[in-house]
Amino acid sequence: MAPFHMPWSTFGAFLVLDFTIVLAIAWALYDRSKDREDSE
Amino acid sequence: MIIYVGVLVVYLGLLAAIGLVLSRQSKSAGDFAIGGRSVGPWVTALSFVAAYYSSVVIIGGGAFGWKFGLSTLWVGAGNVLVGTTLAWIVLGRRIRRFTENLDAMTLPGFFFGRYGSPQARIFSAAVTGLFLIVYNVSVLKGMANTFEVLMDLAYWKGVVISGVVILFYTSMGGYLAVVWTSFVQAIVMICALCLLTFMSLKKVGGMTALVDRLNDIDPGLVNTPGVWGWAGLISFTVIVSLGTWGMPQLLVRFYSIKNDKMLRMGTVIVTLGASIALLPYLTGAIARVLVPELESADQAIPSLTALVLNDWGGALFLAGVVAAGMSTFAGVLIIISSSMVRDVWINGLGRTLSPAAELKANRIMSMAVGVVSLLIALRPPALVLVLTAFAWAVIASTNLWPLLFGLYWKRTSPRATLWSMILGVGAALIWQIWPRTGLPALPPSLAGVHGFIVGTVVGLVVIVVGTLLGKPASEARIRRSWTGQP
Repeated sequence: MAPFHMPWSTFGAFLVLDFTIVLAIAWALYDRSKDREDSE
Repeated sequence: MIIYVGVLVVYLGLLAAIGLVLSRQSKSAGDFAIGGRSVGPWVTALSFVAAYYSSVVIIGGGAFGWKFGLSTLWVGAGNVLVGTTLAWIVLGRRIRRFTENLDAMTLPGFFFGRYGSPQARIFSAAVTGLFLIVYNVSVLKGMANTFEVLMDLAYWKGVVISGVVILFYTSMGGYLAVVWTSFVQAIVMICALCLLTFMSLKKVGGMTALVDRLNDIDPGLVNTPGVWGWAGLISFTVIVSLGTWGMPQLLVRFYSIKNDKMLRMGTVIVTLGASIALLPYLTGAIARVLVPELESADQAIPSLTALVLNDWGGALFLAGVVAAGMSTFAGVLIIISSSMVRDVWINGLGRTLSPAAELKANRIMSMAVGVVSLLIALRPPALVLVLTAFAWAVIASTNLWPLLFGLYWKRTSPRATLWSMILGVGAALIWQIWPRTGLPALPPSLAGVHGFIVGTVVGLVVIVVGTLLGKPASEARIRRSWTGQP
């Protein structure tokens, strides 16, 4: 059982949201480092 | 009631003032249509959120949460992941660069620049223009219905009040007014949804109590896919998430952002802002516990608002719902007017306009399209009401693949692109209209599939097969799209 007595199949929606936020930050950092490499 | 009226008057006055101030900055058609490609990350990102989530999403999302329970949280998660973050990562940078290289200000303009097909430009402009008007009618109707429920205001008054304010600031200030008002509207929406969620969770006794009480009503309201079933849940999530990849009023945010650095920051900001997508579904599920007896699921959010918020909170929430509708309506208005003037009048019919005349034509066109939408919304004909159910699907089916393949596959054939648009839209329309034709019914397993899925599958097959068999656009067009060199 996931937090709040939820089944994991439903709680997974919150995990996907967390993953999406991490993905956006990771992509922004990766893209910045790639831009710096290109400009050097 | 005085509090509701006071908050709305201040709020609508603020929007009109923004339009008036920014009207001085719209000096050319480029400023009017895409803000001169000078918009920063916060305004671009939050205006994207405001244009994406209309009042229909807030009220309708709440209705889905009330009917189907917590499994609907997946729709919100899909909106954030696919409809927002992946759209920004996959489409954002390329759309910005390609439209700059091709000097395109509209999606049909991009299709012409990339493929050299005047037919694709006209077809995309015509379908998008026609169905966006239909979409606008549904947005205006949603706003007026909210006024009706929360303020007991006659339907026609709701249509006229919201329509006139939007028309004023859009025709005066153009795209800059639309994004800046949408920025304000996004903040109001986020505050309103957070307040409603916090207060209703408090009322129900917290998240664990909510899950337990929903479980007591029906375990299908807690499990995934639960009472909705996989077919309904997946197809709805795909429509409202992947559909954004073909919606011009959202894609225009990528043309107008200042540079790549801003786009990067915008991707993080838009992801955080778009996270509110889960809240209408969650509050809808809370409403199922707190207001279980309703005549229609559409009353879930307004009834919950009346139960858990005081007059000030209710007024803020009404402003949030109206904000969601207005930002979507205004964004659509700019897209239709710039597309009609540039793609149909100037490039399609070969008329010449000076920069000042083009700006004036944009203002007049946005006013005219807005008035037409308003008049239709006052008493929508039955056909328009039928079409509103799949306007989103038709527009997305037209633009999705020609855009995505045009950005990533140099070989994509112009002729395959045109046929992908025509057959994709045709398939989506026929699929949706089929049950009303009196022809033999589709098998139950297929009948639940939305026209958008059918249209996009047909469009995908046509563009891939057609490209493999056909010829790509000229070398010069491909070089100009990718590098900006003639």
